[in-house]
Amino acid sequence: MSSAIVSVINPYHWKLVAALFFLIFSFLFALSAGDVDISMTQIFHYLSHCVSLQDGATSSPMGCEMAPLYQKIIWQIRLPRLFLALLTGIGLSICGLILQAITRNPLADPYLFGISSGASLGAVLVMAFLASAGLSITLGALVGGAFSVFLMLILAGRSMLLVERLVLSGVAVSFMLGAFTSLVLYFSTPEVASSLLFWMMGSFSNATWQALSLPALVILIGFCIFFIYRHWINALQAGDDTAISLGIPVDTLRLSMLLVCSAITAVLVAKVGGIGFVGLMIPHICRMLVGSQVNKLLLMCVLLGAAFMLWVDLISRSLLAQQVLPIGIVTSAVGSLFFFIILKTKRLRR
Amino acid sequence: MPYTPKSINVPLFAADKLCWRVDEQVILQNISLNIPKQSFVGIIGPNGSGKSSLLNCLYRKINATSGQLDFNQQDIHSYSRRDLAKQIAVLQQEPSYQFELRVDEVVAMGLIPQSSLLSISRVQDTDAIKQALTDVGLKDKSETIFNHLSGGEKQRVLIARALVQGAQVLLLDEPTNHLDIAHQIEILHLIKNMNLSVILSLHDLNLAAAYCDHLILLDKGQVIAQGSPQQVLTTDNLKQVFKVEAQVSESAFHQQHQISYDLMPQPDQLNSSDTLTQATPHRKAIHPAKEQAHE
Repeated sequence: MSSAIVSVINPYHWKLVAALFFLIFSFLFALSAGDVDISMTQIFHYLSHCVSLQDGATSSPMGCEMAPLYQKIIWQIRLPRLFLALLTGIGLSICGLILQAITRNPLADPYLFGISSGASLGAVLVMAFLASAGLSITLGALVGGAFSVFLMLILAGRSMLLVERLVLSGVAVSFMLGAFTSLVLYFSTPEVASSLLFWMMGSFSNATWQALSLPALVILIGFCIFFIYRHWINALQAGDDTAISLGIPVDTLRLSMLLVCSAITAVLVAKVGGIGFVGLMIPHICRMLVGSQVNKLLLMCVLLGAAFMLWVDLISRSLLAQQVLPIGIVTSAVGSLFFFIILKTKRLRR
Repeated sequence: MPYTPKSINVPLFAADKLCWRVDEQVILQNISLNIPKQSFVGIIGPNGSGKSSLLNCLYRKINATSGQLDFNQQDIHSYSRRDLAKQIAVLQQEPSYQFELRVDEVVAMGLIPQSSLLSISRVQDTDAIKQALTDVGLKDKSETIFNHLSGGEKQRVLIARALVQGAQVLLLDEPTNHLDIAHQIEILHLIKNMNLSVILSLHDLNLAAAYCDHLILLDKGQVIAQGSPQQVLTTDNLKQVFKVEAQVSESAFHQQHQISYDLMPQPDQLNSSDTLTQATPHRKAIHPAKEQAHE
């Protein structure tokens, strides 16, 4: 039903438009807020006159009347940071949605499945032992994420085609790899341990334009794959038997979607560290808004996941003066509170 | 010998010595059968006799360990899953979904085999969904949450999904389970009038006799009898397979057979089960003559 050809605009389309405007508003607001206050008028002026595809700070284009320092703050600090937050929100939300749908488990998210613990372990190992070898954290996280999926499939063995077994072995892998990460932490020097800990709690602080390209590419490809197979994934929600009878290659589909999710998660964990709860919560909030059809949820998750992460980032850098809280703390705290309120009010309405 | 009806020579499904084993355990054993086109075929048999497994073979949810299965005179493995889904729609036993899907969203799943992955939904798709829901009498419930429906309504939604799917063959696994008698009749009547080839498993032998024009009687994974209800539902067959004393007579309401059972457990069953033995004196009190006859 998400179609341009259907001439009647239905409530779903209005909700999408509303979510899009909310995202744009959140983005602009997050761009203006911070330790250095830049007014909305200045933001609009910057976006309309000062943005050029080159480094906007060095050579101001014609008509730009903004102080170079402000331009620098926007271009070099805030924009990359906001885009990284945006991408993280999108990636984790759509992964959560897809994992919940293919396992028919409302608790599924990249964390439950051990993908992020695998990626964390890989990244932590690189940071603790191989930092001098020049290996990138991203590579470590990717290898770790792939390893966790591999381990999960081995553990599930022949019964990996049964959803419940798959989820259980994912949980087992998650704890196993989590234990190894703790072990590495335990045996590291205090300095390394504290930087590892801070990294694991998640942060957008190191965002640069260069660092954005890989997550953006992986998430774009992942989104396209999810979008192409959205009807199939949706039918999986009705059970494997139904999906098979509709001509869907259930086992292949589930396995490939799992791999796509682990790629997205691994890249994100490598860039921003561990950020929980988003992948679990955003799909549920979207379900309350547009129902359970995956094709409708997918776009909604992109918009709301991105917007939510922008607010989380805003809170994390404005709650304490001169200090940035780790993102993971804020997502979990704000997220659980928000989620709790929503569940409560939903029950009242029924 | 496989049963072949005289009127239609081309079988829809033809199985030859079909076997299915799981870990050395034989679930289906040497199943040979012919299912004619445009017929209403019932698969009957006790619990665990292989009814569901046979249905699962017919849409290739499971692949038989050995033997040959033809669909429309071609090996069923020569079809792609998608081609099969275009021709065969399946209704599983009354489901409940983890996520709250709406009725029209469930029916829309029937469009999947017909449409390519990249296609977006069209106006005629919405119309097809509306039409199917009207056909099953659920026009007003299209926006209701599927899980909130009653058992009978759920079955009707799934029938609407099969209609949207546009398949010529409908497989149903105990569609009347958990339904009261009025809804059982309603569902079977609805399916009967859809002008499709229907294969369904049933527990209620009287419903099977009244609605099916071809029956397959299974026991322990083997075909015991197949043919018209008159040929299959005999006192001997029922005693052998279901271990009940039954009497077959003509129904007061329709031309088909009707079965009445002796509702007390049979003595050979009682011997194998200690808990049931206590029922024996009660039984003797009601059927003293019959009990003696068995002894």
